[in-house]
Amino acid sequence: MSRYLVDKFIYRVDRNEEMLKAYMADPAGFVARWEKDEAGKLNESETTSGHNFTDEERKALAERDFEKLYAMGAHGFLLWTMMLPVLEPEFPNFRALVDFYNSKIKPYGRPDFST
Amino acid sequence: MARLSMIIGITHNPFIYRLIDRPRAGWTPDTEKMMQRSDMLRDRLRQAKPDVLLTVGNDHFHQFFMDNMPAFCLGKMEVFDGIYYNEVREFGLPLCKLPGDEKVSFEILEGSLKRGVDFAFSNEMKIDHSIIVPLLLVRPEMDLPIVPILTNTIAPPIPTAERFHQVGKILRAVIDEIPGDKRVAAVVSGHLSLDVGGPLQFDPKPMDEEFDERAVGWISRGDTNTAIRECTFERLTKSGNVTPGFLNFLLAAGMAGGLRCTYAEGLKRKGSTQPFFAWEA
Repeated sequence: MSRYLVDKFIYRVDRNEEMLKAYMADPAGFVARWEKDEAGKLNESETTSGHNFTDEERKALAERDFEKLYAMGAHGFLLWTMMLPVLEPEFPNFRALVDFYNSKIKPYGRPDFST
Repeated sequence: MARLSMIIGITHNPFIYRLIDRPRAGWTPDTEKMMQRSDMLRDRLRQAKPDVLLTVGNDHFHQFFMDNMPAFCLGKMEVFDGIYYNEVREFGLPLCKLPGDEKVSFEILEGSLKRGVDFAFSNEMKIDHSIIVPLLLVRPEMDLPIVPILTNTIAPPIPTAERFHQVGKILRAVIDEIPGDKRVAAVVSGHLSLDVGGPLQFDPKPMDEEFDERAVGWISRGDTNTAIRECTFERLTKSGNVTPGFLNFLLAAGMAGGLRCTYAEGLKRKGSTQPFFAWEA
């Protein structure tokens, strides 16, 4: 399990307009490309190799399965900030989106999200 | 020596900007109430006549991520840019440029190191809504040089409540020893009970009214001992996943020294209770 790498994915994508658009357009394709080219990047020139997605994590990201990601302990604040623009086009308004999102994560309570 | 003339503790709710970025006649009663408090603090800050603002807020995974997560980081620049891409996207916040006071930053950094607070420092710090929203509320002119401090209240493990308070006390001692006669005011942001990305986010009723009332009481009575005892990470996050943002106000209380808490209110409104605090001579 790499909760850290899941959080890193969310953090990088939410804070970068191009990545966010690419993820929204093709979640599975983008996750595969990100894992290959970006996951190990420490900075512009150096890489690390200590973190890898599990199959479950990769699948949840590729399927935008925020419920699973939340249950696995992805950082709740980060996850919401990324899922908001991802899900927005599918809901008539903010309230409807929030109600849907909250109802999905509620059964899991407050999972440990430390890294 | 420099003098700390006032401390403000205030919300950094990023949704406020959209509510107030329109003619005042169009504000909701709720917004009007909030802005009355904010305007009152803005007036008091103006009367305190500060030369420099020590601004304290918790970074929201903007400057920092868990690859390098400082507990407390001090910004040391002549000019600071504010507001990140996703804050423009979600909150419509304006991009800002603020003057810094690199000399005061350095003096606080060096003084703190000597007194046992090893601040991380940054010569390339971009600040997010935790500092920009408070300034939009109490110093919208953004004309005063700032010394920003970013805290970690979001990525566990985070410093203890006791440490937040102690860092505030040491900051105060350091400010009191800065040569010259600068007037310093501190603008510290945080929140009361709050869920953002947790199962009770944007609930119509306040997150945890009982916690909010007790927390405002600790601040108004200066009862930091009880606050420190009760504000463990586990207890705080029971009242919302980002409730540890309250710890910034314990830092503010630590900084107060001889200043009295002259205003303390948790303003109830839909979704979350908004904190407004002031410490003055």
